[in-house]
Amino acid sequence: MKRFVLVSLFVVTPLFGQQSVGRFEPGAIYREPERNAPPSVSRMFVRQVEGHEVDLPATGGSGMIIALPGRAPSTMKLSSGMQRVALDATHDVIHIDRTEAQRYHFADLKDGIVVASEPESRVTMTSTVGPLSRMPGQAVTLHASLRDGDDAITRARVNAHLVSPDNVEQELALREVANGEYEAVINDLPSKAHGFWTVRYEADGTTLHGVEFARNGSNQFMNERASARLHDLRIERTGDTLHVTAIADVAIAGRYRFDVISASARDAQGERHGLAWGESEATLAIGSTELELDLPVSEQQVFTDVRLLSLDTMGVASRLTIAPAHERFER
Amino acid sequence: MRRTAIVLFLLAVAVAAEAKVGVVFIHGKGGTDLANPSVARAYWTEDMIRATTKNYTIPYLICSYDGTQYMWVAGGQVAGQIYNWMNANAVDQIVIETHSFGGIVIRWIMSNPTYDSRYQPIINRIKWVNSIAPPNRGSEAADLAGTLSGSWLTGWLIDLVGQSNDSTRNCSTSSMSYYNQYYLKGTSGRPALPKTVWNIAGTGLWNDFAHSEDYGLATLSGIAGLPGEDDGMVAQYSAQSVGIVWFLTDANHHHNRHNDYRKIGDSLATDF
Repeated sequence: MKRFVLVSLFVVTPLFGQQSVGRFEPGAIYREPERNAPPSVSRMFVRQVEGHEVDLPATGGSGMIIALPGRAPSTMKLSSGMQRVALDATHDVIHIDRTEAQRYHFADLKDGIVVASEPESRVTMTSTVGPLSRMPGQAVTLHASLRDGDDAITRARVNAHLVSPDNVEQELALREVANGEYEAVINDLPSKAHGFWTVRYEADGTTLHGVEFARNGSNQFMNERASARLHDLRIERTGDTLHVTAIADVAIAGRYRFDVISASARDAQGERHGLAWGESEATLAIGSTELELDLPVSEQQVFTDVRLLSLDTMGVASRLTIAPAHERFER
Repeated sequence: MRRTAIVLFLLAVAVAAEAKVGVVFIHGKGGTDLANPSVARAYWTEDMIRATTKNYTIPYLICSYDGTQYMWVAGGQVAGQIYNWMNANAVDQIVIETHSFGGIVIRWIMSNPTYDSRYQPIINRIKWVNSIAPPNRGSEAADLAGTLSGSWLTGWLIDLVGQSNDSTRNCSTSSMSYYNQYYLKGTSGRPALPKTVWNIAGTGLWNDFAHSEDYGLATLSGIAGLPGEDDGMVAQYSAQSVGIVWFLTDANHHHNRHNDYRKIGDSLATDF
């Protein structure tokens, strides 16, 4: 099997020093980049131990895992269905087989944080942030969805901590924009730092059935640099070659890669099939430079996706697309 | 003309027959001390290396890199070691064995052949890659490091998930979604990798009760909310989102880089 796959591989051809061009495998689907960070589903929460005590709200009907900040105290009495497990020499975990919808109180704990999770709970917080690749000037949307099974959880408190790569932190409240849907839009980030920002979400409240809950989660997004911008994207065909050019206005000199993906027009299912791709690397000076790449494409109606990626500091400098002519005029 | 073609064909067959095959091990993320060759060797354990190399009869290299860095930093360290080793030992074909983040490091190298002049010569000699428990779409356990970042990330969680450092950030589901869409090949909707990846996903948690790592991984799986089956650190869906499924193992993330709970090294040795 392994040897068969080895010989049936399609050919990827490095053309010369800084370029490589290849074709997609037959039937391969092309997908545009996702706009938002992948949704994160949380059934866990964090509580700070205060005065050696902590209350943990359980939503009931699920097991519960409680990671303590140290060893469980010798005074701790475990009722039926609860057990203590030593994680290591200094940390214990409490397992509850099936919780009741109530607060569980723990005393005589070491100061620190307790991390608790209800892996089978119906109460979830699904969070995301977008755009995943945030260009300078774009607004950032934080979104959290609270559900108790199929029921929306309304009137909850949802806060987010926005943390930059250089550790500048901003706390903000999310507003309920629809039943169980909470959102905040940020037009100006509290720092210009580029790189991955973290959004930490905290939610608590009560479900429609009056059950107290708490949830924590997180997502990240990339705050891109204003390092370069593509414009004047053109495609021309000569026989079976697609000639792609674009102008790059470079504000920060450095290593960049011009990536081009050619895909088919949408099929009846709305899918695009990957045709060919190419990459061309260059060190670009400040100013305007024409970038070009030839792809082996014989199809007449193509979708073209071009990106300029920074290689000194990872990030997307710019991205443009051109849809086939007949799709541009469809509504 | 015809005779020349036959001679060339026979020559190619002869060269292929004499190809010297070697095996390279690329570990996952961890501490800075993984840049130390003896620490990297201990990561795999001696029995795993012995089994995979058929009692050390296959030429091999244990890569060692700083386990706290981004994939492109790790890729540079790994590429330097592979490049020097394959040239010094005249190894023509390489089977790559990776564990966890090591699978992302080799994807970085294979996805970005022009990034480093050593990448393409290495790619040319790769026969295929066996990728054990790679977080190809990220790991919800790495997301937990983001949720608990700052003063909340303490104790045993750091031991398992790692500090909120560059390699952990590299493995979050958001970061991997970004990298998969722009810098890495091999996931659905993206160009294929130049060489085949065979993935091995872990689906077990409680392997033995002698190792505290097993308790930690089982706890982490429940707290991080890894969806579907997982090995305590990486979910099956993530491991299988690049390449071809070779097999599943019920060895957890601690044991699936060893040849103990399940004889994974013995399976890898069947390539030679």
